[in-house]
Amino acid sequence: MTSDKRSFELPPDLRHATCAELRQGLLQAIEEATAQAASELEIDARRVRWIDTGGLQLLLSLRCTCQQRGIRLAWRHASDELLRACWRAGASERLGLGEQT
Amino acid sequence: MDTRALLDSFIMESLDHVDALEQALLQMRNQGDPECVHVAFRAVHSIKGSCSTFGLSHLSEFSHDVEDTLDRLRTGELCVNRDLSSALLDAVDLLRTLLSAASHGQDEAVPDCAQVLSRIAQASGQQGAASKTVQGSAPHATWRIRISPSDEALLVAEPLTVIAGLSSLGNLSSRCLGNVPPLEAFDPNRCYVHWDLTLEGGEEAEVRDWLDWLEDGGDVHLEPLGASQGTPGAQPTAPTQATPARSGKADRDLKQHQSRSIRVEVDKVDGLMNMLGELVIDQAMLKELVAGFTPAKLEALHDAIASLEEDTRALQSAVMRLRMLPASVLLQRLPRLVDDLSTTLGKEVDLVVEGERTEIDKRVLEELADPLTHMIRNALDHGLESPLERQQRGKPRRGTLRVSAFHRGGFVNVEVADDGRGLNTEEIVASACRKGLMTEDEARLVDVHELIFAAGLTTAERVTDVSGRGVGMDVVRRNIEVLGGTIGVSSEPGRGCKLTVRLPLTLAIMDGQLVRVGDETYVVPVLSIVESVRARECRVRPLPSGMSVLHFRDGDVPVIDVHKVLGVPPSDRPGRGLMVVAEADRGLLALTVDELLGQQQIVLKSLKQNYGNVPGISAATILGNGQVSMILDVHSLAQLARSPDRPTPSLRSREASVPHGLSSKLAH
Repeated sequence: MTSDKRSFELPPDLRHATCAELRQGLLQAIEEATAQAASELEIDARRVRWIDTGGLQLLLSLRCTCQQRGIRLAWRHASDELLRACWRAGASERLGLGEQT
Repeated sequence: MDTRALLDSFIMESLDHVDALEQALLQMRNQGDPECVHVAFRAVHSIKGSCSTFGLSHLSEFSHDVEDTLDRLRTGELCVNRDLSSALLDAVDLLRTLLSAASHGQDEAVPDCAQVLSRIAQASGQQGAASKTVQGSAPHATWRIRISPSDEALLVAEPLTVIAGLSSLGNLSSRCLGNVPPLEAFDPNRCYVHWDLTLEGGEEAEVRDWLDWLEDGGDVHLEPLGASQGTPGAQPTAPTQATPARSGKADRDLKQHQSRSIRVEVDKVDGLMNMLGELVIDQAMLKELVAGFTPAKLEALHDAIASLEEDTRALQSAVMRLRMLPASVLLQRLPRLVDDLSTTLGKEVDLVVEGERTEIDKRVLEELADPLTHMIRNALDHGLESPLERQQRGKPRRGTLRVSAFHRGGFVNVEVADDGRGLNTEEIVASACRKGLMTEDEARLVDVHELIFAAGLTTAERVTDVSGRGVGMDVVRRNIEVLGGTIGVSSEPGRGCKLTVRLPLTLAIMDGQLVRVGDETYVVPVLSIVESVRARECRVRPLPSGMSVLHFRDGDVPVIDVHKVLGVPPSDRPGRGLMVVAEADRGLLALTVDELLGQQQIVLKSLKQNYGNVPGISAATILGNGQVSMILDVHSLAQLARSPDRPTPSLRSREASVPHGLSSKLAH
């Protein structure tokens, strides 16, 4: 059975030290979305509390991967901490965080 | 002769002279030693003397002016005072900047020269030595800031924290630029992005204060956006060009220049030549033996191979020693640092430096410089109390900062200890909770002292240009871990705090004890081994926690069951109480193994690039039979054993057996 949407929940900590492990999880989610021919990857970011430059880059990398594979990246419940940090870093638009639901 | 080689030699020698000048000026200021002025004069005179040979006219002129002032001090025409010695120390910094430029073949006028010479002139009680007037720094309403982190910036700096800080100064608009690759090619340790910022508000000094936190993490440019937008009447400090936020780039260039070369004592080179001679003899002997080989000569062949092995080992050891430098190379910078910081902070500090002759790998030494600076900044700013507060607490007015370097357990240890107020655990927990790093319930479960290494945590009541923004100790830990080391902290309220850094002796080769655990072969660093014992059951005592202790030399040593900790299936040839007692950070540990297989020198291969940090394992090596073997990290094994819900490391020796290209994945 295939689904048109694949979901992934981000952990609270999006900092440099956790990026290597999180990258693996995101890659797996992308692979599964690709295998399921899903058109959308929904990122649930309600738990995100800490983000640094490493974490920001990882999200930008995720956005780039989705664009390359033709998968829409949709944000769901982005936390205030995430929104504030991305806005301050001037990356909200690149991440499509203005379109979050 | 090659002019480039001559210039390199001049730069190296001049840097030594600058170091000597700095030491002499500090002694003049702090101890009033009149002899030091002669040392300082000779140092500058030597630099000036060779400048003209290389056409470095600006460096020559600046050295000449500084030499002039030192000459007047030497003849008694001038007296040393704090302002003058401070101005001369600024000149020391500028000489380093000019030498850095010279190493790239540049000899251009630096505006700071006029400023420094003017300060020297003012402190000397005369005007006119520097005819150019210095414009004061003026506040500016709008700033354009470009932050271009280096590829490795994330290991030393955190740009988002700086951007958050800048946003507190006024209205900040940011653009995050740079191409980030897709996840498949994404390297979490590399910085791909840079920023173009516009800040409305903030004075130059405040902006620079924040940007200084990026000093080693790349390039930063700050420029006022048009004079009309600035504070009325104020003049821009950099009218036409963007100016670097600090001389950080010059320092980096200089470090890079220094790291390309190494000075070696003649004795070491002579020793190397002797050993090479021995190897040539071994080779000749073997050639002769093989040419006319008969079974009767088997013993002689064995002897020749043994001799070759011994000489190869000696040569290897000698080559490794070439990379070892005394810790004094690093520690001699500390008096200036402590002097400057204590003046800024209004504190009285006695610096005690120990272990200057401890030999440390050149790269380790270079990489240790920045973390050590951060640690000392923190100790002086947060740890040591003001003279008045110390008196009120019944302590001597002057605090003591002790920096020691020593070898222990096959590692280089560097300790920074102060006799200040110690860590305020209540305030640390409160700060961590306030900043949302954890809840109070979570705080009860963690080692509170360890929280000082959390990103963003500070207990400072105010932010200074020395520390207090919570950026620093997390970066320190990250840098130390990149080198394969660890950092720990111990503190006693009211009595002080001690940070201990433990780093590998060398990053290339070590002596290893091969041990069998189950069907796996692991390596234990020989230098960390105290003794190998076969313990009778009566000497091993189980504890209620599930752990056991070994009674060893009148004490109890925790037993680490390597099978369990690393998830290795039990052996059908068990070790029957065989244990390797090894030294870890917090004392001895007994590692249960099934067999001791022998010792050999091993070449360390890093796992980090391909496997990240593997708990319990410090690196890998390739054994003589081609098998890949993991090197146990005794300290990390102990932590792993203490963790009740420990993850089982996924990397085992056998899983990573060569060939088929795996050895190429194990980086040097």
